[in-house]
Amino acid sequence: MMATCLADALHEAVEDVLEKMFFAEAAPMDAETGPPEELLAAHVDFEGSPSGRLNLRITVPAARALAADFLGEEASDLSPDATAEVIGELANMICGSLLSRVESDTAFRLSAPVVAFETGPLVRESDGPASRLAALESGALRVCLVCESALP
Amino acid sequence: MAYRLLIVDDSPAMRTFVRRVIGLSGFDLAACFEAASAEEALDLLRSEWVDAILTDINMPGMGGEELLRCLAADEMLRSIPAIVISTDSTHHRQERLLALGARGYITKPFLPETLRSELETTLGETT
Repeated sequence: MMATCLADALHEAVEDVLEKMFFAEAAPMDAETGPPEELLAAHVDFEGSPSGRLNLRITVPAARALAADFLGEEASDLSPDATAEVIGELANMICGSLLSRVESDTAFRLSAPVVAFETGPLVRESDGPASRLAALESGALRVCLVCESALP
Repeated sequence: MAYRLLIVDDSPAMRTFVRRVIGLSGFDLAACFEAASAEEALDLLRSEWVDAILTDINMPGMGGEELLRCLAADEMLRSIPAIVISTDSTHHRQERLLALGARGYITKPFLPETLRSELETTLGETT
């Protein structure tokens, strides 16, 4: 599959998950490397054909706003752990949704999401072509797919 | 008619979300139980009757597939319909779980009305 098709599938998966599960809209942004920010970073590894990893980074205010919408709570009431758990679910759902768009007949095995707070740039040179940058109401979201082998 | 549901998922956030969207969808809910694992679900089902089970697949310990096998093997529990909620939308996985006895399959992401529709269809078939 061409990288552009994969990027399109990633775009659709991000939009679909944000809209249906988080009641949120994402707007496109220019992918430019910016200064370090407080982020939540999550990744989900997947095994199948292909195998690889989905990386997700989100600014902390946007993460808290999405978690609040997901759980139906006030952002100010959410603990860092609760926010991190929701962002792990977000990464998991985007990964599953993306893989089903790429290969609906192949069985994939997804790892449990790994989530951590970190400080760094949202957009990185190592992100690769299959990446999506989305502007949210309270910040921004970066999702990148890295495959270990070429897609059929 | 109001129904009693059991949500089985190792993620507290996902259990909260599912419970929340059931409410948002307008589904008539009499009681909603939660279990963080398949083992906990089976324990709970020894003391509480439910009309339907909504279960994740990938959970630590006994997974959703094993839960479906246990339900099918239990004379008291086999009549309770189970609906799988999963990020895995591959045909292979759906067919496998339906063959194991799942009565419905909802792929994440989903809309509240999709969940309600699946519940109503499943419960309509059993009542």
